[in-house]
Amino acid sequence: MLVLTRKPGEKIFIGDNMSLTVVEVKGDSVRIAVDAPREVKIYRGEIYEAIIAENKAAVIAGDMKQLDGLKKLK
Amino acid sequence: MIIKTTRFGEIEVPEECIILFEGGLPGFPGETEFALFPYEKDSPFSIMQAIVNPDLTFLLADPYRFYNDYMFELDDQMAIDWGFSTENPPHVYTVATLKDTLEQMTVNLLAPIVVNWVTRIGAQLIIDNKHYSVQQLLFPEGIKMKPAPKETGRGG
Repeated sequence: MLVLTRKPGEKIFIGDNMSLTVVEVKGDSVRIAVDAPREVKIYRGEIYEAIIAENKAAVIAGDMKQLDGLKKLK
Repeated sequence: MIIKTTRFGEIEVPEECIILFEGGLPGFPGETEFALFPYEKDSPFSIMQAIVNPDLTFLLADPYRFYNDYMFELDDQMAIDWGFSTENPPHVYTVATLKDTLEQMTVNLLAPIVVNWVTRIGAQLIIDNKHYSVQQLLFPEGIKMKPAPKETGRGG
């Protein structure tokens, strides 16, 4: 993992068509501008991690009989 | 096509119900093909079974059968790229998570699965809406379907 120190207004380029700019540092918060092609998906880390965790929790682990109570629902 | 599954044994799935997820799902980047079929006829639930991985089975719920006002915005460019139109609207599913009892079942409203049934391409989107949770109770009032849709929703 590459770790860099940047000041507000300074950029990091990732490949040829993505960049991060440190916009502002205020207290314990950093505002970052991300410039990337439309097809590159950008998510807040905690949201993406929560989706991964929920997908893993959603994998049916038990017997399908546990779903029998849903059969009456139309 | 006959596929091996842990939950259902060997099952035959028609080509028409096999959906391609380019890039897989968050947490399962290598799983790109799933069979998607109703749990029971007319059920609000569907089964999403990985083609390659027999262990990977999800239960999906039709969010509009439970949450009348569920909504999110589909990116304009995505709608164009995917060829959605009024004739071919996106089909939306939410991933359910089973708990000890069915009453405790939750659905992930923040990461709906969107499917184009004409091209048979799907994706799990991640939406930005602080009103929705990855663990929304599906049956907050016990197991029953909601009555007729409400006149006004609270909006997105």
